[in-house]
Amino acid sequence: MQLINKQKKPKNIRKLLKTATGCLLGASSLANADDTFLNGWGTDLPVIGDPEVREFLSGWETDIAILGYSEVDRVSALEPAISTSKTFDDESVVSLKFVLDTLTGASPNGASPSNEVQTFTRPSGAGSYQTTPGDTPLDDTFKDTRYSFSGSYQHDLNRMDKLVWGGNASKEFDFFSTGFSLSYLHDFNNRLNTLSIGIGGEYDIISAKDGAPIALSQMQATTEEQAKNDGSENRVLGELIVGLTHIVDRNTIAQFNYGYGQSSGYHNDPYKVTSVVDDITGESVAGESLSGTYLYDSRPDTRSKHSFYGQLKHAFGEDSADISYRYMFDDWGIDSHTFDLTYRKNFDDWYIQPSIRYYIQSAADFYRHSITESEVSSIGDYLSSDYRLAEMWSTTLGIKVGFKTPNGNHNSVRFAYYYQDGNTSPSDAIGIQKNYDMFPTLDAFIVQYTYSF
Amino acid sequence: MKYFMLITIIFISGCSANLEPWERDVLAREDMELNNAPLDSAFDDHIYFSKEASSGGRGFSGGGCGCN
Amino acid sequence: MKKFNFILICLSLFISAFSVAKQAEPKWLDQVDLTQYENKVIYLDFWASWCGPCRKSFPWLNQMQEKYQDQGLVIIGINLDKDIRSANNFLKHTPAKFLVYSDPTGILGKKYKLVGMPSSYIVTSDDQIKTKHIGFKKSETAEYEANIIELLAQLPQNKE
Repeated sequence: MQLINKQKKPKNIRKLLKTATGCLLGASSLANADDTFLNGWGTDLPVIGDPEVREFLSGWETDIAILGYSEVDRVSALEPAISTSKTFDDESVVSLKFVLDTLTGASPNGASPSNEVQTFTRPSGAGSYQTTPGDTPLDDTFKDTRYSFSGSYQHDLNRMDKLVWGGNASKEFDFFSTGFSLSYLHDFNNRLNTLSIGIGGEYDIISAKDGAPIALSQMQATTEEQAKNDGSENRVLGELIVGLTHIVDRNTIAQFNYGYGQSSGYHNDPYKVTSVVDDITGESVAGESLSGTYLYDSRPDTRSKHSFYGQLKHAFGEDSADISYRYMFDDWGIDSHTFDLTYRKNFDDWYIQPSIRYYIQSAADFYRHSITESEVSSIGDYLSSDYRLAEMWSTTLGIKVGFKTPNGNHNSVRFAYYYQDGNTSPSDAIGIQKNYDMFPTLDAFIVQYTYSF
Repeated sequence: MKYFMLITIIFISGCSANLEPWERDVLAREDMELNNAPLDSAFDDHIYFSKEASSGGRGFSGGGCGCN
Repeated sequence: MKKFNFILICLSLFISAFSVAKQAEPKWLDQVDLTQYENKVIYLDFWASWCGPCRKSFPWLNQMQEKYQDQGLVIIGINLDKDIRSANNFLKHTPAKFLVYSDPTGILGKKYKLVGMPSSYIVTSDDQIKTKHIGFKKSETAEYEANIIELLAQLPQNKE
């Protein structure tokens, strides 16, 4: 009788047992919950005897995901991730996340296309690469793996107030970052509103191979010595976010955030250069040891950002729509607008969710696609040809489908297409530059699969 | 920016019908959470952070990368 | 022999289906008439299928009802789902071993001035609120149970 009853239980009881925190159905049921959880990982795990340890290990809700990102002719990345969270008896929540990011492919180095073959020295100084005439120079040195970890702990101070503590760290070949955050959330007005205040800090260490090249110095050939700054560079970031959540009505919720960020320290990209071209022809100008003249990236050592974010979510019967807007501006002269619209169509056991994002930014004050020979002596302290600081716009089209597998667990698949464009034919293009794309247009495809249990 | 603050104030002061606790059923739905797929948002934030000049807005940037 | 096995299986399936069905049948009250529960400690618990902490409170409520049934504890789960089907669906997976009442328009919710869910009110049969609590946390169940024990001790039948 007992056996038949068990078989007749609904299939997703496993998930319900998992989400029960220290279920009070009795010791035997607690054992069931643990076994189900541990068995979910495979029966080769040792059975843990200590009941307190078993209780701690049960009740975690986990997502495993893998993201594939691929730009046409440029960078590709594969990112597996695992994220898990547990709500404890006192309603405190611990969340942990680990992401691996493997990057390969080529990235624009900032130099402009030319009518001759261009030779560049690799960041290590030990090799070089060449660009065909007419092509956007791409540096294909980047094969990197990034490991990142983040965790948070949320707990109630009382019925209306909570604190969220966060920490993170990430490491890649030439970069290390660590940070923390602390947020205070206060519900008021009968829980129709929530006020949030958060602060965050981050410390980054940039360790370019053999040191970072001196800003605005020329890129030298492999046979010559490249003047570099000894050791590694660093920077510190501080962030403040103030937010307000507002329940408009039974079907509508809104969020407003103001964010302020201040960073200080090394902001240059040690691998990017700006081409110096002839005032009349737009052709490469001979450098000290290379056939072209390329000046290393130089950015201010401080940056101040402000952002304003608004989001609205509204339920249309069983479906819902989400619209958001962010306005950002900084003291580098960049300002940007981001629009995001997502529609969720819910069915009984699955859903489909199309989305669209539009982004536009203005150029940084010190961004130039290239400079002329006569400008070299008067450029000032800062100069960058990083396309990410250029006048640019992008569109993302996405679609996500979520469904439950027979065992009752959630799965989702997401596809997106990202298109980025800028001034490919700027008005100040000189001579041969008028024949080339002066902004490296980008097409990228994104695929993500997530499994929750 | 001025308009943004104005809209915020109007929203808070004006249009919020008093919602009883038992009328929060729709808002309790998973898809009505403000950030209902945090893993997706984190992946996206990372992509946009490495391809664009802006970051954050919704929450903390939460860890940089050497890509910007 | 085969025929006998077949009958046995059918019978087992029938009995188990019946017991599962019986298990799934919630005891919906037609009305909440407190006068029916004289000399009882009446624990009114306001819940809904979509409320997370409510789901967590059910095993504990079941345990309390079973443990203190004989001493005079009556738990009534007042459901505030707009659609009783959602409540029944919830009860299929998380059964209630106590009485339940459907209040889709929140009449009782308004009467007791509910500010959050779940909310519990321990009342007397003449509708006096003895104690109330908003929310449910597993880490606080000892406190909730202590309240019940204290009030049960005051009932005449338990004073001997």
